Amino acid sequence: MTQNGGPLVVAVVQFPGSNCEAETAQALRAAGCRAEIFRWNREPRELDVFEAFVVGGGFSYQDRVRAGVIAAHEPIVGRLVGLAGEGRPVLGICNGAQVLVEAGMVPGLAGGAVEVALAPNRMTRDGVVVRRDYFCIWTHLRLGCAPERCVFTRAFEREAVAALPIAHGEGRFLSREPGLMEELAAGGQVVWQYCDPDGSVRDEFPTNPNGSTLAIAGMSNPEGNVLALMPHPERASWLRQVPQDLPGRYGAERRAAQGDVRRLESAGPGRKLFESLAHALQPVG
Amino acid sequence: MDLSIELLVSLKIPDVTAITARRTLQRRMGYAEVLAELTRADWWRIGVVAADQAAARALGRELAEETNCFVNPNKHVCRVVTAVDLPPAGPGQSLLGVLTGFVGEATGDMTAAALRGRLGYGDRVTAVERGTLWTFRLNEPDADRARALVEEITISRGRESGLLVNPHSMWWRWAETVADASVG
Repeated sequence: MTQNGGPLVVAVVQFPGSNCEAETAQALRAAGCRAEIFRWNREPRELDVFEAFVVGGGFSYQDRVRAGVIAAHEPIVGRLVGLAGEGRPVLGICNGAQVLVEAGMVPGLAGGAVEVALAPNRMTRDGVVVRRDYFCIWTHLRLGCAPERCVFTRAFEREAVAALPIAHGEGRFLSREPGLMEELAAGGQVVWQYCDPDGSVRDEFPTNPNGSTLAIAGMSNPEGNVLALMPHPERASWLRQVPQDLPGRYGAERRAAQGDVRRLESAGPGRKLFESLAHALQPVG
Repeated sequence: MDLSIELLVSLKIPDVTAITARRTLQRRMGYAEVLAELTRADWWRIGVVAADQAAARALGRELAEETNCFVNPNKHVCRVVTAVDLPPAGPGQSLLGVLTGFVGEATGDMTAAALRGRLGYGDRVTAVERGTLWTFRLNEPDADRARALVEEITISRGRESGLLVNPHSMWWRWAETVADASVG
């Protein structure tokens, strides 16, 4: 519920090639939001009636040139930049994260400059490249900032561990600026990091599934209202979506729920991210 | 002797990536007047050991035509060159090329390993490098201004500037014109 008493009204932005908009809207509704799919070719000003925005996953414009960059130049993203500047929450999931990075919204230090890249995956173990490019797997993530630091983490506990799946070829947070990622981490903008099921952040494949600098899975702008997140919370919003063989707490919960429809339809580990958004406009208690 | 040849591989069918990039630059980024044409080709530089340049070119043609590593003849056309060659620009225009690629991209190394091992070329192939050749035809006759425009278009600095290269993950360099380089 928002401060006005009604559900948060969220636009799920759909580009040509997006393929997660329906399930993202469904996950938002399950978390208590009102969600509407908003096609990229509508008048950008029509976005203004929405209180928050999600740019979902897929392959916008077939990843032409590189993932997210063509969509980042669409007028609708220009409007998103303006609305984010007013403090409205914007979440980019997977391809949506690539769009936000290419639009200069994340990390957002210098007014729209492209400050990082989501580079092609390059997985390493013991200093050796063991795999490259597209990869899909369930991962564990540890909250890397204080929960109240980011609009999308307020329902989590400090240093919470979540389990979410990834499915991407270009998800490796990278900057050519020495020390920038460490600065972002110190400033609370490194929101999620890949970790083992026990919460240990490790920079080795497969814990770090794409070779991302500092094992970064999600990064926000300085204000914490824009988040670029490579894993898919909408694919982990119901317990039934969690694989039974997943190590750790969530796999155990899923196995225990086997055959119990009511438990299987309960919240999965990604739901809290959308619940955080659903309560975004309420004062932090 | 150690020599190198280059392959320029482009699509027979319309290249939708190049078309989308051009339209984005023209419609969204203010280059409608100055950007006349933008084309794209896969660029491969292959290090070879050969007796002379003619033998290197012959090996390049064989690699392009026989290995299925670089060219699918159903959809690609390929030219074997000793360096990127660009046709002359039209009157009042400039024609410039840039090579781009991802830093640490592995396709070249993997292709070299396949050629040297599984495909039996052994030490005749020493290295393979891969990138993309973007060719700009600009309605700008001044060479310095044309180069400045291409650089501005190439390097992504924000939503308002640059498209083709994210400088945090990609390299780029000018593709210098070499006359009479086409050999295949």
